[in-house]
Amino acid sequence: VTDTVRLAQEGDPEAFRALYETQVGRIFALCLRMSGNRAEAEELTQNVFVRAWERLESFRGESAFSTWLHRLAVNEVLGTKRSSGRREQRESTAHDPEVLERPKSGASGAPMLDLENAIAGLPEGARRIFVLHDVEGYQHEEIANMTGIATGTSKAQLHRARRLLREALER
Amino acid sequence: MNCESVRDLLDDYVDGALPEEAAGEVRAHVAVCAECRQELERLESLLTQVRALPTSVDPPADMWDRIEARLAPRSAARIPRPVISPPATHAQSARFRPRWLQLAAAAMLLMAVSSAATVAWLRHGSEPRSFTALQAQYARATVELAQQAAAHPENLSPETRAVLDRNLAIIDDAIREAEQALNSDRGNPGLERMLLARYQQRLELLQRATKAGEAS
Repeated sequence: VTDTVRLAQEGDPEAFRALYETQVGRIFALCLRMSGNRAEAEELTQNVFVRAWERLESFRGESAFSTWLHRLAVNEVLGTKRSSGRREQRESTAHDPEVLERPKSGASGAPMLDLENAIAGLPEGARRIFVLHDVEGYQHEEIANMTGIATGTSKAQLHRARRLLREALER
Repeated sequence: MNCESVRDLLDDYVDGALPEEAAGEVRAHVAVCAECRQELERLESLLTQVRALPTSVDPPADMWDRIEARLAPRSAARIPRPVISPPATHAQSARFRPRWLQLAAAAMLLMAVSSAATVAWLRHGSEPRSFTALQAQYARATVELAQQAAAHPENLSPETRAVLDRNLAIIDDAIREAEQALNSDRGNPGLERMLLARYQQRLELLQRATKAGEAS
């Protein structure tokens, strides 16, 4: 456990803010891609850091703090899905104007934005497996453990996501 | 192996999850089948783009404010504050002078190596705004107090000096770590705030020690 983490564990908000500053970009990227929706990602990111503050004392340093926080964020995103249920899922993330807003023609980030939009437009199940596996680097077995689905289902969702993405990008 | 079974294996193939024998069969097939080769290339192209995605995305500027508003204070866990025992005797001991002298030297060095902004502040005494200027302000105040304390160690009891020495060591460790973190992440406002808070902590500790010495 580093001194910054230890100070945050002792209740020092400035130390916790320093941890926030170093980690928030990665956590926000994860929440944004997993949810496919900016407003939801902002809410999820807030929840992750509030939860981290509440549970910080349980962090014992067995893994890096960034790993611990990342796993907590994945659980937060997956837990939100379980508790909100299908009815409350966003209509379609692909209709979110902020996610889908395209740059003016000729903008240098256009291919990446196309890909980000295509990921946001995936069906939720396929999107989450794709982000966990291909973007975040989790193995199918780990994903199966985290999400409670079978390894075969994880593979099938990944296959579907990759196919849909290729189709979307080649349109 | 036919096209259908090869297509079913392409995901595992690009993920390196196929046994060598099956991977060899896929390689042999795509070498002679243009359609499956194209399918493989499309898949690899997608994954190349995915690997180039940024790992970090900037959150809204007010994200921390929204989080901070939701952080409950921890009643059981407070920031450890330096504690100075009241001076009891005038017994003299030079045991603890080195740390104070080191502290004074380190603080003077900090002032010496600070940036042009610091120099400007020191010369003109204008209102400090930048982190560097504040850092210099703390350094100067720390030098003065550390020199006072080191000049008259007999003013404090050995017990008080032992407590002071321990607390200074703890704060100095925290300062060193924050400075190292800031060195590798220059301009990080959170780290700057934390470092200034540590300087403040050290200053307060020295102020209290000096007052205790004067009162004794």
